[in-house]
Amino acid sequence: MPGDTILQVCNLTTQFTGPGGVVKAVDGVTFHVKAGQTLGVVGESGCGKSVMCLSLIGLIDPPGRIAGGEVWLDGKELLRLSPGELRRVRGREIALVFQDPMSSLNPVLTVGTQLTETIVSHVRVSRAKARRAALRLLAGVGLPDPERLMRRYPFQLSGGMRQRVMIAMALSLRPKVLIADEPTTALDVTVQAQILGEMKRLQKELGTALILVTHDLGVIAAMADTVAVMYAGSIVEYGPCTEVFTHPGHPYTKALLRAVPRLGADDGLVPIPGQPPNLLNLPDCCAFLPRCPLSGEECRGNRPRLHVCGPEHRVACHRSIGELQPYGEDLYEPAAGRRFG
Amino acid sequence: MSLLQAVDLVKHYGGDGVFFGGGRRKIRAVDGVSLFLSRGETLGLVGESGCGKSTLGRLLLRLEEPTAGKIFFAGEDITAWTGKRLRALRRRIQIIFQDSGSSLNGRQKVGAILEEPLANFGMEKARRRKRVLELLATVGLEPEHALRYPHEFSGGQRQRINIARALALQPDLIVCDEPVSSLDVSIRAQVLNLLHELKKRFGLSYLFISHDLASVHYLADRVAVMYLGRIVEVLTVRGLLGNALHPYTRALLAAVPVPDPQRGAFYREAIQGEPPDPGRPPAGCRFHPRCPCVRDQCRGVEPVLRDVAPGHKVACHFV
Repeated sequence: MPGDTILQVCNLTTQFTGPGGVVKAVDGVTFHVKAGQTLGVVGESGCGKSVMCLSLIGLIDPPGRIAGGEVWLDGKELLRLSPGELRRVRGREIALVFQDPMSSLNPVLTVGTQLTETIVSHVRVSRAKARRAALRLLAGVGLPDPERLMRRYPFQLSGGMRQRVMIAMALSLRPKVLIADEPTTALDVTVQAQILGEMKRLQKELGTALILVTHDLGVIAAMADTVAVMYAGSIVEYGPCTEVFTHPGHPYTKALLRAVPRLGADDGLVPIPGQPPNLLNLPDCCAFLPRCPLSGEECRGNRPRLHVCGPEHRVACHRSIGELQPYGEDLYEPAAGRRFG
Repeated sequence: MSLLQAVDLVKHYGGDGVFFGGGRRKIRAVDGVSLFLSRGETLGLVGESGCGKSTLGRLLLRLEEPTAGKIFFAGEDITAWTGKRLRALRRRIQIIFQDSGSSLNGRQKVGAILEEPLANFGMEKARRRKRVLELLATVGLEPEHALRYPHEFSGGQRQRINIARALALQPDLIVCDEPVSSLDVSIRAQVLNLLHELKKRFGLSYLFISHDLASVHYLADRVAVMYLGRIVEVLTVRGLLGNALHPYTRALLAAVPVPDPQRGAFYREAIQGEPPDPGRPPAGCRFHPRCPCVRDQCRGVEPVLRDVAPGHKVACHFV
């Protein structure tokens, strides 16, 4: 049903252990996505947004490991599934589209073979039927002449066409959740607009929930219902899209909005001073502290948790919290997730 | 008087060989471009990938040999300059590339990187050292950074080193080829502001090449829009939002995602199709297969870039 929570992530933590220490790439991330809706995840490179995507479907290889948390997809806790069970969920119930379609497509197989293969390996259908489905899918993502396209190899396609093929493939099994990690970052703006339009249309048609990860605030503004702003592995602000853009609560969100050049605005850019932090052995205080214009004594204490600052609007900042109620404490209890099942 | 001027500049690749490359189609990367850049001005050059904007930048720097056309710098025809004269020209026109990592030698310390252009033009050692420290301070880096290697810096800092190197010889013009495209949002504004400050401080002129209209809008005085090897519109930045006339410019503007959820979905107005292959440009107006206002004339006759208002040129039959 649209509006029902389809994916609930509680306290997800992913760490990489190296000779220099521990990198907490994802550090206690909690959010949910409703069926048919779009969650926009925005953050700069290295903030852990890609690792978070991979963690959701258990694609973390050593030295990385998912150190804790739960991912509930429609009544199943994904992180506790056996590798075989997880394989059946991936693609079929939750699918992933990456930024670079060239490296996710097999260069020596035709588009047709790859698409048909995806379908046949998950569903019991004949190749002929899978082929027909593949043709429909290619037409569905706005690609002209699907018959001819099926016989082509990835290198013969433009970047935009490849990304359309990836989206067709990801949606081929009608997953409940589609994760798109910077799907249009490598594309030209006119092609980006086309593809985002296609994604929005397909999402409506299929009722898929979308997790759209990007660094582009403009894309988020147009696509997302809910926004999660990530910084140094944590969600620092989370709320309805319009609310976050018009009344940002976290100093980082505010600073980010003032640092992007926008057409039509003549006011100067206010850069965020300093650099994004190194996630290696990050101290347990607010990670934005060294760059924050509002920092005070209380910021040197424990890292702020998300607090409720409006209906559905959460912010993790000591300076904004004041009397606000902590958010999601109940979600951290392992049993709580089951009510989504 | 304009500082830099291009007249009917053409650059074709391939298609001329008799042997292995003989079968290749001719790529018309830059196909008859005329533009000028005044002293102290920033000209933004926008277009999608493959439209020839970087090639045009390299032609103007004399890093590529034009197939035809002329380039004038400070009133002199530099198209055929070679040897000493070309070398002397290099200190007046510099470039900053997109990829801040690969344009710095990873085995050289930053100090040596910045010293090299100075040594090339005969500055003695003691003065070079002093100049390096000066340059580092100018771009907001610390003196001790001279002793580090490029890999020890973040992308934004590396771009600062590139800017410092470009400034070393006190050029008149810097070609900035997508200087902030690979940088993070929070760092992008730092570098854009730095470029803006340096321009005022040293009276620089920029050719600012970018696919990002918002950055161009922020930094440039005038904008030239390129499509498939041709300039389709030139206008002032102030007129960009209200007065842009070419359907391609308008499509580009409409496709820019604006960080404002109340602006409505930009993707609804997206034009169809992808930029065509520059080896096989469409007949007539090159934009006609994607143009929402295409008419019969557009399929046969290529429009010329003509003045529609002072300082505003458009290449379209129907504006």
